[in-house]
Amino acid sequence: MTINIIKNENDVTIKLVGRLDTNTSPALDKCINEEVKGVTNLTIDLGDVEYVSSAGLRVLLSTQKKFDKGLKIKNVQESVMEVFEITGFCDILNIE
Amino acid sequence: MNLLIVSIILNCLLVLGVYSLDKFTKFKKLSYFARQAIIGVLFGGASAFASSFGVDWLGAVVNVRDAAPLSAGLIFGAPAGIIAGFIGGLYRWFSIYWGAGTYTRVACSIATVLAGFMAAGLRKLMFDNKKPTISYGICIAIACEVIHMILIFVTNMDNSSYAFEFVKGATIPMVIGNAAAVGVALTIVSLLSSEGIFRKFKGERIANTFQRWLLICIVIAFLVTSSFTYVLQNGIVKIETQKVFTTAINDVEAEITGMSREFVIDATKNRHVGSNGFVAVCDSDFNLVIDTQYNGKHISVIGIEVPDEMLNRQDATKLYTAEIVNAETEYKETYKYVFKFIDGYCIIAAMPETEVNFMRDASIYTSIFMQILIFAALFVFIYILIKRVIINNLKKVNDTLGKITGGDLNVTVDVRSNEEFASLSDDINTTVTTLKRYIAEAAARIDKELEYAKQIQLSALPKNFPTGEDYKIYAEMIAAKEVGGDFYDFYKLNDTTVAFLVADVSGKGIPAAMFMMTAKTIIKDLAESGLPVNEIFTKANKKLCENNESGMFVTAWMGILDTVTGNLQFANAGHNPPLIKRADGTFEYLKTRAGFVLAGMDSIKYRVNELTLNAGDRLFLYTDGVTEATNEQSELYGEDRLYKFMNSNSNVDATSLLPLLKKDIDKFVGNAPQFDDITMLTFDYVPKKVSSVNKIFNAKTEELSNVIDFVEDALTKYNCLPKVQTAICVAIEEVFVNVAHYAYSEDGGTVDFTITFDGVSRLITFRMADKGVPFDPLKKPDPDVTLSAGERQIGGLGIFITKKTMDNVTYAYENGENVLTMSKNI
Repeated sequence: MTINIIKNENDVTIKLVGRLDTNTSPALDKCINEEVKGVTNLTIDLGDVEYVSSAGLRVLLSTQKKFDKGLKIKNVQESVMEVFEITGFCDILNIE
Repeated sequence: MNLLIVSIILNCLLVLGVYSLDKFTKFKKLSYFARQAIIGVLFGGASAFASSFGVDWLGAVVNVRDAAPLSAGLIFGAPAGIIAGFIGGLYRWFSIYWGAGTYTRVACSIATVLAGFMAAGLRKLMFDNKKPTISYGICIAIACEVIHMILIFVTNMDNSSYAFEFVKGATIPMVIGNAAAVGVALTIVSLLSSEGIFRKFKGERIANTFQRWLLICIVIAFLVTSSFTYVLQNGIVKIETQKVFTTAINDVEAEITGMSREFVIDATKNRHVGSNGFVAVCDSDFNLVIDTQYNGKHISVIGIEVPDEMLNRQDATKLYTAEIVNAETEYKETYKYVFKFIDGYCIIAAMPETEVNFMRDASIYTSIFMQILIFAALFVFIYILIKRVIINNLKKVNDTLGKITGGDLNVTVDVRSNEEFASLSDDINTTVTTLKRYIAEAAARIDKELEYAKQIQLSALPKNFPTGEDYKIYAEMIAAKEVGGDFYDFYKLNDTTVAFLVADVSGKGIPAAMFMMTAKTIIKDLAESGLPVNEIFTKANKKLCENNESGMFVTAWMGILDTVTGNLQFANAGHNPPLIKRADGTFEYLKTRAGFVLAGMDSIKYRVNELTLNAGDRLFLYTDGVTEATNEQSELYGEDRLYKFMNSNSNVDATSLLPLLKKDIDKFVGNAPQFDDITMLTFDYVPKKVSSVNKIFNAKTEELSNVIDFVEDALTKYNCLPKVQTAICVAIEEVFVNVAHYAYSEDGGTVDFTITFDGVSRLITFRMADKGVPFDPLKKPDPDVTLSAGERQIGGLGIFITKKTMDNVTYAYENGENVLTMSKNI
């Protein structure tokens, strides 16, 4: 998985490409904790992600907790949306 | 004379009429003898008609009665000629009762009957029962009339001089009349039959050469003998006449020597020389001493101009000619005379020239008639002889040679009528026997080579029929006697794909076999390169079109089956439609729009057709050797018979079914030979119920990607939808990560992972076993997914996702292993 960060003063967009699974989600977690400090508005673009496992969900949940209303998830693919629906994440996350 | 021409025209019209009747109407449907009888009667009538309408000649009738039987016999057939001859002859015989003369009764009757027989005989013997050429017809008519004249002569020998006069006058018109009638009739028929008056010259036949030379020789012989006879008779007549004159003169001389003038008159009175000649005496002044009114008058009064010898008182040295006035009739007539001087008298003996020449002319006529007859007979005889001895034998030899050239080497020439032909026959037979031996040897060699070719061709067809796969294939190719161009083929393209086809190359023999090998190889190469079936055909077609100068082509039906999903893609290049039977149904023809044959045109694009096979479905592929097997009544085995047979044997195992079908075809065909190769292939789709893969992984999260790859491979192989694949992979990851994290202590351990797939129900089962601490992950309660983000616990989602994704998840602790089993219908 690759992580692209686009910073725009207080607005940061993270674009992910690849799989968000057990092995890759720690990288995203670390990135959010270290690179996006002090930012109020974070957008995660999942347009090129078709695979999210529970490890990824964990990162997304902790991020959600951290940013609350400042987090937006966009371009969710169908297969990922199914996981969000099974786990009730679609109600928690601010999905555009 | 006009009546004669009317008769000729009538004869011609009759020929024209009968010929047209025979050629253009239903008349020809009558039997041969009925037709001959009718024609005979018609021409008999014409003969009778001609008999009554002739030209009077010295108390007889000159006519063309003989022309009708001649025409009938020569043009229409022997029986017709004979019948016409008899009718004409009988009519002449009885016609004396209604005014005809009796003088030529016998001769004319016989001659007419004879004319019919002559025409019939010559047609049979000389002309192979066909009508003669015009010239032959005319010659025959002439010969016939000559016989007629001889008959008149012979039947009236009691008054030969009258008969001779009659014949002398009648011959020319009779000959010309009859010859003209027959000649014109033949000309008309020649024109009608569109062969023309002159036969086309197409290499002279032996018979013609003989005929011509024979004719020339005979004409020369005839002329020579006739001239000789003429000269000889002329000489004889002169001597004979001299003798008669001398005798008469000597008689008179003996009586008048020393007698008075009156006595001299008495002595010559009533004295005849021959029958119409006379003896006259004149004195030294050439005044006649005779008892007629010319007595005492100069000799020139009766027409004798005194020749020089007489003037010089010399005796005659030759026969003199003078126009002498007959004392009774006072008509002048040509006479021959001699004179002799005795005692101052000159005795003159004279005879009419006709009487002098009668003997000569009679013998010349008879001799010419006889010669014509003899030479004509000779001609016919030699002609027939040559025909019998040479031409017929040559024809026999030629006919046999024709058969030999036509390919029948079992005939022999057997002409033994003379040594030369016997030898020729033997030589030909020996040649044929040798030829036969060579041909047999060559045929044996070719047969052997063809046998090898057949073996090679058969060995190119796969014989190891798969049984342990998800399908069963069984095929048979029964080659016709000659090596042919049928083939079947099947091969695995990968673990889950199999290709199979049946094809038929046009034509037979070595070229078809070679083309078949090429086609088979090209198709296989293309198939193994992974192309879809329509592309295989499109490309194979292009390749086969290259350098296909012999114009051969292949029909083929090819299918490529995904053994996991049952998806069958197939293409048809002008081949017979296969039969398909669904597991619980009956065979039906799988008729789709077929593409053009392979190797026919290089720009063809083939379509792909698709259908899904279910477990137990059977396909039957065949070549037209099955449907076009032909019995002795030329009926085809046909699609209907095949359809019925397949449906009444639908549950028979393939290995027994094909021999049974062959037996059924053989029964239908009977004793007719097998023309074409018979190729049959059955494809049974029997996907194994369960297939499984197994792999052991280290229970570490680093192995995760390997595990996911393993799962994805299996799912792809079983044709799982991509969306479902992702969901399953997520579920498997959750379970595996769980084991990796918790099952083993630091030393680690392994996970035994088995994926099982049931092809029929499409149920996929994942079994994961580890030897770690006994732990049932399913016991943990499901997280509350309705809680808000703040209330939600991190963790516990993984197993939940798994449970939600899979249809069924169970846990068991067996034989010291934690066994988690998950299944899902895909």
